[in-house]
Amino acid sequence: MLPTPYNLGFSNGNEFDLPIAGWTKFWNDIFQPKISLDPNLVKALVASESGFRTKVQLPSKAGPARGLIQVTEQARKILGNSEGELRDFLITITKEQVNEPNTNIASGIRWLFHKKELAKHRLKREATWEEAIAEYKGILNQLGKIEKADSIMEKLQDYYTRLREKR
Amino acid sequence: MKLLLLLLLLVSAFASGNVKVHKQTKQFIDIEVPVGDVFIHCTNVNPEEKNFLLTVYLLDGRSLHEFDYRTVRSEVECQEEKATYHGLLKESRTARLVGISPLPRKMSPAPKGAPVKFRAVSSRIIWTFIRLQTPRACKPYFTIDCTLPENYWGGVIPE
Repeated sequence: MLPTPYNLGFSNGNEFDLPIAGWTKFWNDIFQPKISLDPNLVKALVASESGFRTKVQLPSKAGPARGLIQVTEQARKILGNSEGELRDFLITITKEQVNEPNTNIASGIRWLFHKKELAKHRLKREATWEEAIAEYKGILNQLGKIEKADSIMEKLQDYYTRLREKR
Repeated sequence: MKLLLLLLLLVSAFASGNVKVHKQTKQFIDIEVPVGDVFIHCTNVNPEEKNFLLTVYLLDGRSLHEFDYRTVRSEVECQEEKATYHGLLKESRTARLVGISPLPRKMSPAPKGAPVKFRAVSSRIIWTFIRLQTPRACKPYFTIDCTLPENYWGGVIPE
């Protein structure tokens, strides 16, 4: 299923609907979660992370976050490490490849599925996709406790709600 | 207390005369105020993992604008970036903030530690931070967003 063709006010807002739909379906088919990941939630995540801009980088001491879904250097390394956190469906990509939109979305969604597992362990129950994104953004255990953490998720929810309303 | 509030209102009314909105659309704002009306804060959003969110608060006389980073940083990174922004503000009389994708107005004050005049305003608008500019310097969230004019709009549709 394609995400809603609504640009959320961004100049490139609908440009990546096909890879978002394709890779969301691909990883849903692979991992078969009880509740499938919604491509509109992925589109909302891209809006909140990069505003649909492919060449953006956030410099960081731990290595930059890159591209549409802001794959961090740490995530890139873990995604390809057969002796690391991931048991299967590893993705080996170079620093250059991670900037490419299709690869960026593919690896970002794979990383989100991994974060859902981590959120499940942290919460000691099945995590929702919104909770998986909170884990992705490094704020899961503070939701409902710290206003700023809620505010980060509110921004994502705002994008997601607007996409669903326009469906 | 009443006198203090009256004084704050008078100061705010005076300050609003120094506000310059360069451009504002539904999704975008480019606003300039005296540096005294800008407050930069690192909020600890995850005490367990020591993740901090950098926010720039801007007072326009009537409303408090909050420009949030898109993602959390380590404490060291957040404090270093805050120091860099302070460095820019020191050299200037005014500061220009660019933000996109506002969340609807919220009714809650600025954080503890903010100057009283920031906390006196209960209504605020939350924007995604794009850049802070002074006449001499510019510091963006994404490295490309001080490359002007091509990245002036920070990714949103120009209106």
